[in-house]
Amino acid sequence: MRFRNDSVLYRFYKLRARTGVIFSLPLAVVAVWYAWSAYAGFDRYRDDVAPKTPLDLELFHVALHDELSRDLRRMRVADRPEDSALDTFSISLTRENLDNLHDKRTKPGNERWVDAFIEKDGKIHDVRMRLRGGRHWHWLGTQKSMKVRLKKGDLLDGTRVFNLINGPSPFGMEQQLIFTLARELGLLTPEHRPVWVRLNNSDLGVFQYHAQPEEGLLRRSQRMPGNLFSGDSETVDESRGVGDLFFATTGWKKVAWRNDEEKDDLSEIEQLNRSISTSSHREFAEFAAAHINLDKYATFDALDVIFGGNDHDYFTNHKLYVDPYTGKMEPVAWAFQGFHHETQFNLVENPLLLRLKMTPGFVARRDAVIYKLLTTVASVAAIRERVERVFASVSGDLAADPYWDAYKVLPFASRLHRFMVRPMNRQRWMLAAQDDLDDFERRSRYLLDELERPGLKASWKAAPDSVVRVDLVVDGHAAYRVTSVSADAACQGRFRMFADVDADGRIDPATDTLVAGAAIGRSQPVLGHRDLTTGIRLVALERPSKKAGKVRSVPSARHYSYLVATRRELLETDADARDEATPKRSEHDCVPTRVTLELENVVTGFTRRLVLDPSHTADDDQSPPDKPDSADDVPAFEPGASTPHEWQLPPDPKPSTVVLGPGPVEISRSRTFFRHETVTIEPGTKLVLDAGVSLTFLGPVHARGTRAHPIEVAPKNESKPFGGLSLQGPGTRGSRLHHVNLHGGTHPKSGAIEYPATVNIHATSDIVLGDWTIQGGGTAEDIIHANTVDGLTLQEVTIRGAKTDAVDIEISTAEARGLRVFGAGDDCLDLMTTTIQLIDSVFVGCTNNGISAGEESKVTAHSILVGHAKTGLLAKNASQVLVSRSVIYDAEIALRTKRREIHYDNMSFIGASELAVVDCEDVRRAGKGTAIDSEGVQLRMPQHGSLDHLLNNVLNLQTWGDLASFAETALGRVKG
Amino acid sequence: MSQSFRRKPGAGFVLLATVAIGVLGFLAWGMSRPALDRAWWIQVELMVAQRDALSHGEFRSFQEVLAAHPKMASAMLDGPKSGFISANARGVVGNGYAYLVRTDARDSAVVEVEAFGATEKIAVCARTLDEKHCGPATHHTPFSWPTPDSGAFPQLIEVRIDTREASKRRPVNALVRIGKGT
Repeated sequence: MRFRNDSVLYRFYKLRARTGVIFSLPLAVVAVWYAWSAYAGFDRYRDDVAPKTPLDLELFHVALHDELSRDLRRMRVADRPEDSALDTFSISLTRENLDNLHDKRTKPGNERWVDAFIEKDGKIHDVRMRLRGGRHWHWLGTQKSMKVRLKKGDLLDGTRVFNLINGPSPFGMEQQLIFTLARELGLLTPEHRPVWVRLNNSDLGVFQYHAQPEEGLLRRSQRMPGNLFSGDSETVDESRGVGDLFFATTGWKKVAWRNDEEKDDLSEIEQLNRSISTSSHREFAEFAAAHINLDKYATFDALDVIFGGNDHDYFTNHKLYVDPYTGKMEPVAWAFQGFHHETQFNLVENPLLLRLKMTPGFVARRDAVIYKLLTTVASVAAIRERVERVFASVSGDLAADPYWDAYKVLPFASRLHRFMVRPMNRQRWMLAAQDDLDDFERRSRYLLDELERPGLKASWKAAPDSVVRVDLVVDGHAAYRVTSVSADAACQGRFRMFADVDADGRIDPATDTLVAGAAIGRSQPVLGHRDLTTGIRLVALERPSKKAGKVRSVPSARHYSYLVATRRELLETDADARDEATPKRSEHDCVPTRVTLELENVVTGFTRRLVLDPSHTADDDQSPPDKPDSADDVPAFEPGASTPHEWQLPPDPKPSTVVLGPGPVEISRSRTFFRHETVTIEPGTKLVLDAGVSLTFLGPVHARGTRAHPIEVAPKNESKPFGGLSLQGPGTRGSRLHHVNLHGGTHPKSGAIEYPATVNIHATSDIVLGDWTIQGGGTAEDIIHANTVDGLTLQEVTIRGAKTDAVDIEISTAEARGLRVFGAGDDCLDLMTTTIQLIDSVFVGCTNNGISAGEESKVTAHSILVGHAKTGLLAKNASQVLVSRSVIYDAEIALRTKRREIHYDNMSFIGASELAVVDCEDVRRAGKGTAIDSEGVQLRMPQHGSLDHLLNNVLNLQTWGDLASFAETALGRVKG
Repeated sequence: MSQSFRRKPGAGFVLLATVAIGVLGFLAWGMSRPALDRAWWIQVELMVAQRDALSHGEFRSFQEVLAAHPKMASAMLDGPKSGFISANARGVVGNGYAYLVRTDARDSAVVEVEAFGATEKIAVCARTLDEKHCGPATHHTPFSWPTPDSGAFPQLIEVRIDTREASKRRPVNALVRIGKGT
């Protein structure tokens, strides 16, 4: 081949060295640039994770490959989908503050925060922000995790403080799935979802929005504002050599509180920590029953177990809320990792969890939740379906994310390999999700295998005195309830079954409890000592640490014995025995020949019948189960500690009935009627209470007053008010209190639980107060206070002279028919997050609002009168009031809606039909962003023939002209 | 006037060509998938049963990564010294292959395969990088192969199973075990 010597190709072929250097330089720069970038990126990462690791060719290849892949991805990145479901947070920072954000990352306290603006949905918020998270994925890459705090009084999505987190996991949506599930299960769960973040008009990509738990969370979750504690410690308990979060209060801070004076009060945490450290098993069981919402905690721990979480350790990630009206703590769903499997239930323990698991019954309660979830909403199929939905909602945005990266996308060859953050793409993401689901599937299979293992051995043993001992050993994660028993024998007569509480193999009526007795051959329910649960035992951790502690728990078998007797001597002492009719036989004839037990698996719900006879006699040399602790032992968090035997704790008391009255019943000291006590108050009873004395009912109450013989509740000394009445907790469900006249009370003394009213109804359901009259309320905040009551009925209840609110109902569903309030120092009816139907009711003389509906309340009112009130009907904070065929008389403002407060986004609304507004200065006043539909309002008294039901039947009037005198008379009576 | 192409190129051209080839080679090497990355894909795909059996090249590459990073094998097995690294349900495989890993040459091991729920015999081949053994297996007469104690460790073992019975042409499952050798 030949070419001309003046051609370009020839000259290029004959390029001189200097020119060659100049031409080569850009190429060399490109190569050096990538080589250096790869090295520098790796070096920065290595410094943070494993500084001494040498850089070999293999790792350099990975670093270079990732550097090139990142650039290639950024060049080809797709546009964000127009119909993206993700919210966009646009952050604006000055150049100086952008530098400061990174430079001040490790500064203490407030020095880390910089000023910024965030725009979302067209609204600009003035914020302060800082980088958060110490691990490299939070701050080393372009996407940095941030904590954002809005100015006081401003909220974004109902939250003042939130995090924008650069999640490191390859799938990246595990937390969102778990948090969504936690919320659906009723746990207090902060908002957690993927969002799109922009910084100074450049796309940063997909982040995880995670709201910080605070008062807004309580309101959105329909909890009363109360104390919310956040526990994150960095210090060690020197004597135990582990994190001190549950042994000291220094790591705790209060992030929400009820009153400002309580802001720095950590007494509830002190009490919790004291109980964890110093209480015996028996004392802790009592503490837990009274102060911890065990169902919520069991659900919380169940989620940790199901998804293999390991973040709730001795140091960090504990948040607890205390409900002021139950006095119970519940955990806040926080820091759930996901889709990790090891062949253990809890992958990390903490002192609170260990104490709960050492309390008989808790593990069974928790395991029952796990089983239910794994077979329903957290089954493998259900989780797969949720993952599919997540894919659909975020895949477009992830494809447009210019900085999408994750760790754990190299084999676990070393810590350095494991945590290296690498660029992601859709294929990796799909595979990672498959891997996570595969882990979850294996975990689910493991957990279900463990939970479905029968874990029950039964044997027969002839005991002295013709008694048969039935031995049951429960192991693993099994838990059973013995529901019924029958015994056969070669004679007629009766059998009795005792729980061998002292485990000596002999019937001792002083210690052993009779749990069933019936005619031979007949089945009888077992009452008491019927729960057969395993325990746990603490064993040393293979790799103890300050964070994970020194021990973990393993199941510990428990041995239960029942003694079945058909002995003649026992039958003769049995009042129910019909020995006279039974032909006498020898004792030998009457030895039980067969015992049949019906059992229900508390965890799985499976029922099982055990038929035992002498062929089930066991060898004596069977290895005995672990020795349980004594209930009076104070366990240390050391190997060897274990759950006490279920039967060492006091059994649930047998149901009993307490009858008060008829006639005067003087009560000089406050009294609590426990959950097992059904209280009946007879017609014509007069409960005379000393000053300050209160009655608390934890079980059902039936006040059987009649019109002719009402029940009176009065102070002993008219000048010295008694306390009040309280129906507290779910045990009071179904209570009915009829024809009660109450006066001279104030409110019960508050301890762990607040009782603000003369009559308090808390945390229960299906309660009826019918035909009540209540006069005054002393210094009480309310006359009737209901909180978290599902199905409260107030029927023909009349209240006069309330010092502040007459009726205050929060987070409840209720119906009020014939509710009459004459005179209230504040609102006649104050509602918060309540759905109520009001019918045929009268509210006169309300210093502030006739009806105040707040915080997402829903009110339907029909045939009501509101008179002499500052405001007739008020709807605020996303509440809705629909009123029909009613009258508002003599109010400054008849209908009023207030603009939304920061915690509630939705609009408040009042709708009226056939509403007469009479003598009111202002018919309606609608706040910004709210609405009042007043088309159905007429500004005059109802015409003759209109609203006659209200006139004649509810108000007992003949004409509407009598309304003024009715109201004056009613109020006059109050004043009189 | 024209010149022969066979004349010596200028020094600049040589330099530029060398640099260009070097840079392109460097970038091409950078863009090629690192062995560790490939190993991650293989590891996860095997675990979630989302791929065919490994090709010889993949087998070799994965064995080399395992040998270079012994901790990786321990992490995959999560405790035991030998076991599955591919999808299985308590040892039962239905996709025609299983991959197992042995971490320590001092613990001899035997791979056993039996037809699970099938009456006819199945053909089984097991191999390491250096050795291979094939044979039949039935429900009652398992295929058994004491894996070699030589070669690279941790040792990657492939078990290939013909999951279609010759007569019925329907897939069968196989129960694969790795136990202690004698």
